[in-house]
Amino acid sequence: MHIHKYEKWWLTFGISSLVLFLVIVGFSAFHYGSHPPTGKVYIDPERVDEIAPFNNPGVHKVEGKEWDYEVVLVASAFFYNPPEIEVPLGSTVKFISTTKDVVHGFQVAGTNINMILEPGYVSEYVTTVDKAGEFLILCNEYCGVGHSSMTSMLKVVE
Amino acid sequence: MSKKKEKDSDLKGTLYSVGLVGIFILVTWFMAFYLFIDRF
Amino acid sequence: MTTIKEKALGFTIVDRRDGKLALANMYVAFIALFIGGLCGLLQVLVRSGKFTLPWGIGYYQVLTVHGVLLGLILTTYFILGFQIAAMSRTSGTFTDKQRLLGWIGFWVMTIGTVAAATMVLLNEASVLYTFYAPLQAHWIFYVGMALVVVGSWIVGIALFMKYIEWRKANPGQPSPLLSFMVVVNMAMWQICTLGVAVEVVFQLIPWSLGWVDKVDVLLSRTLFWYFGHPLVYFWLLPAYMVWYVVIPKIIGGKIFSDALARLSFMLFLLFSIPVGFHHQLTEPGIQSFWKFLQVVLTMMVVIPSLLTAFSMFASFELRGRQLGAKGLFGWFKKLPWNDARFTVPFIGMAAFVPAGAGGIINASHQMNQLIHNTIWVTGHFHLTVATTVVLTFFGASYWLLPHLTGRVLTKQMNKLAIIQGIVWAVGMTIMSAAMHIVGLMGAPRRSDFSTYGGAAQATDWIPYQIAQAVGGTILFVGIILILYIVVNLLFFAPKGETEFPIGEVSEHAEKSPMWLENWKIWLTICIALILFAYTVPVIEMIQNAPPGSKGYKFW
Repeated sequence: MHIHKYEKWWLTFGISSLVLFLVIVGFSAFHYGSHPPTGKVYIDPERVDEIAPFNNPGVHKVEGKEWDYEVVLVASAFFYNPPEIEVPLGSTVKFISTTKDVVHGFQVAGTNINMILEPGYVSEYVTTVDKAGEFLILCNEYCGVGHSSMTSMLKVVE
Repeated sequence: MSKKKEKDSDLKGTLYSVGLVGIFILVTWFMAFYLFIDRF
Repeated sequence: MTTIKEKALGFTIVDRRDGKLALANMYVAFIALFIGGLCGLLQVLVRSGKFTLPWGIGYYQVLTVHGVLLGLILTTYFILGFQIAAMSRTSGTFTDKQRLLGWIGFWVMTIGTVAAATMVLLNEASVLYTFYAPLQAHWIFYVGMALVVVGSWIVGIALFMKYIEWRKANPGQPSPLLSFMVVVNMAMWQICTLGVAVEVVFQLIPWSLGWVDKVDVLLSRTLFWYFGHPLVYFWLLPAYMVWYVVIPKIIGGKIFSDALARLSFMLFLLFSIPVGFHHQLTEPGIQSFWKFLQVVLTMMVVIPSLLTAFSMFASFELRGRQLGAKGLFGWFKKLPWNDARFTVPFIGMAAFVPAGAGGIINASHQMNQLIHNTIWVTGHFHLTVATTVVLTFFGASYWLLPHLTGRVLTKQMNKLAIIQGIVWAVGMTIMSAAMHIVGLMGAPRRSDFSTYGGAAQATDWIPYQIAQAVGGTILFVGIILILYIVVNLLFFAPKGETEFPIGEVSEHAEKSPMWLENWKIWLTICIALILFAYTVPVIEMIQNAPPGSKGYKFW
């Protein structure tokens, strides 16, 4: 099959760019641990309130872990519990969240914290909050008529 | 063979056009990547 | 086979009986465009915060209608209608049996569409077209959607039969390029719709009927997205068919390379399907390794689009130079800009540059967190499907509809069609740009208007939402224009014969190698890739499944 010389150049350039993108995201994921949020913990969605840590939603200071705070947040139609979260600037925070009913989103606007909460699964994401301010937490996965009133607030304070 | 060579030089505009497309893709991707790195 | 009339005209006419079947599909497609487009207008108006829906209509009901009618009904019907005509044009008139299958498929789909639409209008199914279990719609909605899929399979069988008939009659010959492309698209559709069929038939229908209490949510979403990404390529490939086969003829040039066109379609068959996880990058229950593997496969599906970009520019440049164009870009001015059949799809091609760039960002593993479920994504697919694909379909309608109805596109209508394309481009630039920007700021998709408790960030989004309403309103004007032209072409345009343009391959090009049409090889690789990408993560999903979810009706 004859391929024009310029087309070969173009394919080389295009494919190299794609490889470059993959190397960058792959290297930051598998070397630096910058994976998209995931979770391997399974939970009975109808007993969320009884199971630790979701029996005690809120901000918890922890010792001896790779992160300073654990933020436990429970989503249900159409609320987040707690409705407000406060963490100190510069601290490393692990967000741990699940849902009691349908699928919800957990997005902190203006940040990379963006995960899907599915009944039966615990979603987790670790990050260092290095910018002060108030960040809106909202549901970004359609969950019903009250979907767009489902909010919480992340306050990063100095 | 000479015909083929003639054809090859014909597509300079195409090469530049796809080149611009490629550069656009690279620039937007790195802008998004920068935003990702900058945010927590 | 050529009739005397066709000889006199110098082109082939699709048999009227096949044309009728194709037209039936077109009618449904354009009715869907009208209703779905109206819903789109209502959505952008609501989201501007200046307008509320009357008579207790829900925002998510309107959103469901918009998504189902435009994403599934308009596209599927238009594509099947176009492909029926394309097959008949390039491989010959359908046999009575094949045509009957086409009609059965059409009616099965239409019954399904009406059933599903009724449930949505009764507010029994505001689950959006992505289904969102454990939100639970009325079982009739799911049965209706299943019928749409099954009907499309029946039409697909008719198309496959025609192709097999041609191959048997012409042993050792590569099939007509357009027929080959139709078959690739339908093969991909057949394989990918199995996922959504399994979801609907084995999970959602028994669950919504109360035969089983619980549904495995992650599995249902995985099955959906196994279908959901190839779905977008099912929309795109017919547009590529027009670009590769029809546009070269319209501009008076030649198909740049038959072999590369076939290769790029086969690459789409291979890499469109095993990539569904890139819609699930932020979901729990799937290991990062498998997500990344599908990200790599997603990047592979960019390659055939790179090939296509080159082919398009090349056929334009060769034609322009043939007409005496000089310099690096002189050929650009030589293109037939006053021909809507070229200009309107060209706007679609241009839109695919930012659309493709955005798509690569979306699929870049953890970078997906930037935009996941934000309205950036809505902006993205309004460039891909709602500009690139749809404008190509509009451009194709300007010759396909009069070809099938035995009419002609008048000069006036041609002018209006170009204006329609420009209106669309302006409206979409405003709406899509606003969506991309405000999406990066965090505004979510699929959401009613909300001030989010007066949060400062959400206040900053409102000007962009007003811009979306402005763009959306302009787009609705575009819909009125296209419908006016379509009605004209169907019922009022002057009688005459319009060509179904099919490009010829450049005389310098060599014959396409037959391995490109060796289905055993390609289907084997296709299935192997799917198994490679999905087997282990799906087994893990099932083995580690949490207790299932009961149904909820939260709307």
